[in-house]
Amino acid sequence: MNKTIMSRVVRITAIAEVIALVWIAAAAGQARAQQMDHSHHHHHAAAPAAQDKRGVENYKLPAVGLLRQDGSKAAFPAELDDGRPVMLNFIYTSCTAICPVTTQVFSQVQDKLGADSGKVRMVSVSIDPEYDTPARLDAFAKKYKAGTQWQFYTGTREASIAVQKAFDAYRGDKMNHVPVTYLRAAPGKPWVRLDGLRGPDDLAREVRALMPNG
Amino acid sequence: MSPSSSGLRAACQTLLLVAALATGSFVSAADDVAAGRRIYMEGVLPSGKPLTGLRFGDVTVAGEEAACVKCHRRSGMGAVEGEILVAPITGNYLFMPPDKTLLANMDPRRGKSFNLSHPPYDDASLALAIRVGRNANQVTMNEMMPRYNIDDDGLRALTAYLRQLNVERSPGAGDKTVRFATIVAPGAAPERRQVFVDMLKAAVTGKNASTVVGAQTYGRRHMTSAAEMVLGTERRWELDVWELTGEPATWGAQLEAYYRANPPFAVLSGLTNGHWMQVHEFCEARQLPCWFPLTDLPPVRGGDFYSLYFSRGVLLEADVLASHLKSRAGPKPARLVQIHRDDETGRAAAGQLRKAMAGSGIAVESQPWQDASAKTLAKLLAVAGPKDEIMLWLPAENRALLAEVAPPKARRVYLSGQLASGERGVPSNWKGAMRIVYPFELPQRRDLNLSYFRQWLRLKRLPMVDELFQARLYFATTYMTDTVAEMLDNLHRDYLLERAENMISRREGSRAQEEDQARQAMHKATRALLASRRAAGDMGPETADPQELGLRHSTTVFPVLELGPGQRFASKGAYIVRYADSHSDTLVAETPWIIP
Repeated sequence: MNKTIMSRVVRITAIAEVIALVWIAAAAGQARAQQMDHSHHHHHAAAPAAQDKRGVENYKLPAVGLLRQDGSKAAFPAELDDGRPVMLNFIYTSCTAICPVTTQVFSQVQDKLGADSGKVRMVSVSIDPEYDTPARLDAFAKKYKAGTQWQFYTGTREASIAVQKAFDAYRGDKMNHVPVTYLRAAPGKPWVRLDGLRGPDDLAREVRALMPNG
Repeated sequence: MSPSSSGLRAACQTLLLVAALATGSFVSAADDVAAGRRIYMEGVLPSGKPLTGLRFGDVTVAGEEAACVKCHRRSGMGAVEGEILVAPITGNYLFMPPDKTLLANMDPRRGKSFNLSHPPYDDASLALAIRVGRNANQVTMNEMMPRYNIDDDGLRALTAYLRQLNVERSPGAGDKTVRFATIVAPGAAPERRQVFVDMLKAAVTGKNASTVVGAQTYGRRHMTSAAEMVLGTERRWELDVWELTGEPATWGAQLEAYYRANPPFAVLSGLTNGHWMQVHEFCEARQLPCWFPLTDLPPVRGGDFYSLYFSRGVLLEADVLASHLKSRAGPKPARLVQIHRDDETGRAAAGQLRKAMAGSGIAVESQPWQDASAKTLAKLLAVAGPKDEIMLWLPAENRALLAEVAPPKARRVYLSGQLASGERGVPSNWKGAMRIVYPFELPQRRDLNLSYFRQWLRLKRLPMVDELFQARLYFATTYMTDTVAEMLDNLHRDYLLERAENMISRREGSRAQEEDQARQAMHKATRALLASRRAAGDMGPETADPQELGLRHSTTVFPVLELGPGQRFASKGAYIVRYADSHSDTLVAETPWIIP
């Protein structure tokens, strides 16, 4: 390696970073001021998170093999096509902040649907498949009292990434993941993509609307 | 009794009373911190009842799930997950005036909000944040933060705990220096031991040669982050080598003596030829990070926090082999004969394989190889018939003996790639039946990963004794450099481990990408130069094009290193490989990466 070139690259990178840093600090200050200003006007309303979005997408799902939490093999996307509405998210079991919340919300949706919970297929796919063995997923499912309509999936790293990419959920690293819920009324129908953290009432309402008699 | 003595007695009584009062109040403050710690770590209130809170107005969280540690982590430094920032809540962050708050938590993914200053909390505003989710900026917090149902006793205790949480840097982290130790256990091969220590010293010398302590922008010749440069949080490194001697039972006392003389911030790698449990336990007890030691037998104990390992070593290999033998197509072995050295590593490996093979229907026979002689090895190999298969737990230092022994009749001979440290040195007449349990990336694929490491070694004029071994050590040092730089002034030991958990795969991915880009730029320049020289007639016709660049996720000997909260083993699988032919060491993967 040419040391002169490298040191110049390092220096240029560092200078660019300093410029970026100053700009970022200024932008952050501005954003904070705006945020404070905003809250000033809406004292008691929970500030709607900027990332809460709703979209309708035609995802093309790849043909990949995954494993269910009991270790059995599942062929995607056929696994999702039993006719029931599907509610899908991405999780990993060692996750500390987001996944426990989104998983608990799924669990509460299951409770809220009550006798109707069997009319929907709930799907959670691991984005840390090497750590999330079927046994770990099974323990995770039990912790959140997942019923038989709610399956957890793992597989190879490549298979998990392929599924994440198909749902435009791949962020390069599991620590970059964002909370998204996907809903689909029936095979062949488009997916509803819900970005952001959604409460159980919200989601239960969305799922009921997809049921044949909803 | 004389008046003076009664006066003295009265004075003594007063003193005792004062002392008792003082002690009493001290104990109650300490009690508060302890009670607060229980709320923070376990979600248990002083009353013994579980802590509860609400999200989305009606989703109850309780107990462990509601504990602060779940999101804010043990260090209180929080984390970044996607677009969600879990704010730091250490004593400094919550209560210090903004100009005193250490600018921290710099995270490459969260550049725009790395300045986390806010008006300082007091008891009342903190209570509002915890109970109703309104922060010091008067902004309603995200639904991730539960609105807690916490009584006054609980709140007082939790506040007391937060006020003292990580307000000081950890031992070993000074104003201008960070101290590290490395641990060398007895029994390692001398050339390995030598290159291990030399590489660590070269890494520290190299780092310090270009370290500028303080906020100067000139004179630096190595990568620092912009924030580190502006804030002047860069520190010089000091490294102690802790040499252990004698029986493992005596190591605890030796480690304690080293520690008392000079407590380090973290243990930077380590070297052993077998036992490591004593070191693991010491690090756990001392709450001392033990950073990627080179061991074939790392202790596997759920819930331990302070030690990080590359993989589960021979235990992983045992599980991979069992998984392979159970699911492999074709005839199953009549018997699996495993030959292992009669030492701690050999016995543990054999024990794990026996356990993992339970229920497979394949009989497992373990043959301890006591004297490590070729003659005994030949005898043990002869135990296996033509329908049997062999697992050979053969350490690198015994590998040369294979040349003195005829290959056995067994259909397959599996070799531990971890213990043999790779595929080299196997005689050609052994290669046909040999399969290797290979917990590393395939050599042809890891070439690109290791090019920076190899250049570094050449620059430092250090020998290549064992690439698999040295490349792991190189990763341990560079990953420590990067992680400490990103921590800025927040040098807390628990935070070091949390960052290591969260950043490893991302750092590996982006570093691999940077190296590819740099290499691509170099290749462009090289190609242009070659083309001009060729045009000038200086050179012959074009030969091989520079290597094709593929997408990589790693700069190490592993396909990928990944951790997560609570995860302690970064690489989680292995291939089963065979030799392409008996005349070379080229390997062919017989299976995909197996994760048992």
